[in-house]
Amino acid sequence: MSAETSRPTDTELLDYVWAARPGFVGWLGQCNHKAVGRRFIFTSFFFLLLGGAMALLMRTQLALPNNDVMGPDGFNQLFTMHGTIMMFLFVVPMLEGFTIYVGPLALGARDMPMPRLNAFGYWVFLFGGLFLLSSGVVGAVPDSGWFAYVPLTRAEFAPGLNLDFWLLGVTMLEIAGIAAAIEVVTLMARFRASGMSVSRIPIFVWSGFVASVMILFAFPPLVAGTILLELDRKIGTVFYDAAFGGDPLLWQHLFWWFGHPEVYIQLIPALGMAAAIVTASAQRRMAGRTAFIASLVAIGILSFGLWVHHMYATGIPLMATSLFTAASFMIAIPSGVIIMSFIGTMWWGRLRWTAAMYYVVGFVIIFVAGGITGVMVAMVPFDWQAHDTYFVVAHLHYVLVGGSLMPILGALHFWMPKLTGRMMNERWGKIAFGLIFVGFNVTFFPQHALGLWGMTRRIWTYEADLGWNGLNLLSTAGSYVMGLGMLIFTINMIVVHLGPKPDTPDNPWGAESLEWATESPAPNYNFRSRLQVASPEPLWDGESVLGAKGGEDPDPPAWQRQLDRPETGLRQALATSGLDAKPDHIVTLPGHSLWPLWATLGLGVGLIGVLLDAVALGIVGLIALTVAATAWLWPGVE
Amino acid sequence: MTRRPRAGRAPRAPRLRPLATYAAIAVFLAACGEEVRDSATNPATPQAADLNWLWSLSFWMGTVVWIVVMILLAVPILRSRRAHDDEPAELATASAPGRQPPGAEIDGPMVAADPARHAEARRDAKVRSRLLWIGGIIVPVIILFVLLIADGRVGATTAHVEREGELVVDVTGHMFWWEVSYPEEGIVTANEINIPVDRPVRFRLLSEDVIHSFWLPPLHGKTDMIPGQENWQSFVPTQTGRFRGNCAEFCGIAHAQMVVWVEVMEPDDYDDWVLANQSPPDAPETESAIAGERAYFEAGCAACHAIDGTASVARVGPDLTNLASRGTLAAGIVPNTRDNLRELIIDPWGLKPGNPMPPTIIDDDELDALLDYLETLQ
Repeated sequence: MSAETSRPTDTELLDYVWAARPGFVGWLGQCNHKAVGRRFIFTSFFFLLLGGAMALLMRTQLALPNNDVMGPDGFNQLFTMHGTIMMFLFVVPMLEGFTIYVGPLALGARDMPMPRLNAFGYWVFLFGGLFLLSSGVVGAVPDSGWFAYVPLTRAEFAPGLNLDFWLLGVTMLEIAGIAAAIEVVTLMARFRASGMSVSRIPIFVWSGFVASVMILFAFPPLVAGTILLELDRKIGTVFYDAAFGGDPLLWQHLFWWFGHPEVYIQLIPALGMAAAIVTASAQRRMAGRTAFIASLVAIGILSFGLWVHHMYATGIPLMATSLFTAASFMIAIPSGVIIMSFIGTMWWGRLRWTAAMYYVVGFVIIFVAGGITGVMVAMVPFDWQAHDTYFVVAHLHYVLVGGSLMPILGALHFWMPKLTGRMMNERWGKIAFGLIFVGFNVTFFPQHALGLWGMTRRIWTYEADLGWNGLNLLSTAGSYVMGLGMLIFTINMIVVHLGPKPDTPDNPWGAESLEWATESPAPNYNFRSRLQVASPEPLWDGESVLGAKGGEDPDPPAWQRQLDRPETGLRQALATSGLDAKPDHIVTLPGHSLWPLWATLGLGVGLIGVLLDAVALGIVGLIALTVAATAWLWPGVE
Repeated sequence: MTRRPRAGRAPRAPRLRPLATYAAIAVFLAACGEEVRDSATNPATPQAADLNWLWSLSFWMGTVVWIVVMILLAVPILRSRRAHDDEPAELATASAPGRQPPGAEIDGPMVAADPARHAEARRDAKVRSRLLWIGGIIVPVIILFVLLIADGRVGATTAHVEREGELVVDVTGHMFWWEVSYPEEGIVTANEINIPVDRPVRFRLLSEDVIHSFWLPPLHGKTDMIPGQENWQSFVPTQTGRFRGNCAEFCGIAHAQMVVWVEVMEPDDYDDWVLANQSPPDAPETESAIAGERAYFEAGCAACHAIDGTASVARVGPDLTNLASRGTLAAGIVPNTRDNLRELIIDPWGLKPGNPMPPTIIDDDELDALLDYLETLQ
């Protein structure tokens, strides 16, 4: 090789080292955070559409009294899968996807700290989702609610495979969530641009970090709970059987110890997304940035003290439950600070009305209403009336659609140029927003009244003389409008990806954080040349050094030279110190690897063995998992 | 070179949309004019009235809070529209750098390069700080304390306590019906509970299989029925009437059709009801009814059901001793008519999908006789 003439430029070499391998196998074996993040985002968007379609079917059944679009078994399957899909297959993976894609870019890192674990997380998520959906193929769709209360889910009352699909599928999704959470925590601790001290970390990354720490504490109890229930079902233990001294309430405690933080896990990163959008739209720093971040942390901690407020009607003494009322009230305070922070930012900024900003305004309007009803249902005596009625259905949709879906849709508009290099159509985005916003309120606002009028949750039919007919019909009409809005959103998203790739600007919104300093979509290596962050808004402060896209850094330190010209062909990235983000050392990251996929398949085969009571298959899967994990970790094996 | 998205389009005032929505709902309600059967907002006991008071208090406070927040939100939205009219906002980007004012390192306002804006920035920082402190912390804390006190007071008056002279009724949840027994009076019935007005009542709530939840919106909140656990619900009914409740905890396939009725009666009527139900039903007299009693045993009804004073004592399904005096069938979902009873016997899944009761195989003559017999059970 004649060295001088064909010597590649730094950019070419970097691009080559960080690119996916050619061909299908190369595509499959990608571990880079951008590939994994995009996969998470678009897979979970598919699940959003699926879960939404299920909701429309349910609303169709409930449009009229004594309706017979479907029977109780179909309806029970639908509400179970709607809840499970939205919680486990849409919101959490979507937020993880954004954290995985945007997080390293916003921190100025080149990849996630453990790319193979990252890929493993995606494969387990995908397999868990397919596993859950495959229950439809064999006709054993889970039908006991997304909360799977015992004893209804014990083998004597749910003898089929339905619940086994749910328990094993959810366990896989939890594993995926924990894997991603470990990644994000490590990422924020050590993979930042030089100078990005803790106080300068973008709010969105902070929110992803808080949610990840919560996942680490909230998910393991549910994994434990589901394993205990699976043991009850498969080998006849009696953890939850009152007749043998077990306790059905143990499941509720374990489930809500997970389940309550879970709703804040779905909320907090979405708050971070909304903050990123508002900051860019208002062209100013978040009002009370520190208070905002402290509030995120406070919500994260407080959310572990609330789980009993799902159990007020179970006969727990009033003295104990009132403690949880007070704890639930407390969470309104950081939430209030956060809302005021949004409003304060808008007050001072000069807002530019992008579609993403519309979604943020929609989020504030809806989420405040959901928060207020949240304070109401936190009061034990009122909750005795509202619990398990459509009042709670309305409340939780106000919180989750307002607090998660709205920011997520806004974030898709906002970060789409960075994700794929395409800008979504603003006009159609705003039309979709209008339909979703109006449709949502028409669907769910009447449900508050229905709940107080005695309409309990999870009923597939109701009699005609109860006074519920008008509002149910209205609610169904609203859901169709919302569905139309989602359809327009989806079409918009597809249409902009047809045709030749436009020349998308690096920073179409004039935003402040580092992901906008690089190209759209981000190149394989994210950034070239030195990044030195001087404030929380590195693109605005005029002091931060933002890498080089064409020009050269005149005097780079030696380690930066090594990073920018990977002569060794290794993917290398900078690790920084924890608090003040001083360059610490250079780490070598793995690239292409199929072992996470094989490990996932091993895990999947093992769980299918458990599902079918096929011990041999289970053992084969376990061995495959062990072999794959060993090869994965073996030095030098790709 | 950065491209700026079109900034000029004024927002179509998103804050107006919920108002429009709620107006639409109000119009719809007025047009509809349905009468709601059993509402938590139409209480029939002092306990439910207290719960309703707490609801009203929190509803009005919540509404005020929501409106105030929406006004705070509307101010910047309107202001930004005005700002767009005269000056196109310039983007702060890396290509147009600005320096921060000194001391703004951690949390100061982010100011563009123009030093003329510093005064505005300081003024704004003050507003912002007030928003966060007053709007985010002080006002919410005051409101929450008010609610906490109200919550505690209502909690004290609505707790499920023992009262003097109370009537105790055991209610056991089954998939998918309610077993009702009066231990003092020695009455066992199902799905319909009769209680006297103005006398405290306390329900002992049990479950035979999975978790159910006992709820009659105008009487009191809900209480779960959990296997292996004894829960209590108590209140003082002060209005006569017939109240409907649905099982509130998802309990399986026929959860939607597990309805309970509570009839609050004048004390004299209640005493009559007790007397009538304490004795077993009269033996059948007509020929057809006697044949029906035979059919009852031959068709296998006695395998699950019980009738006082006969050899039928099973406790799997509802007790039929006073079947003919009940108002409804199949756990409160249809009126107790001969046709509905016939359908329930030969096609229980048509009326109530998932009903654990199997279809009874019986010829038409026997069925008519059986119905004649069942109609004598009072």
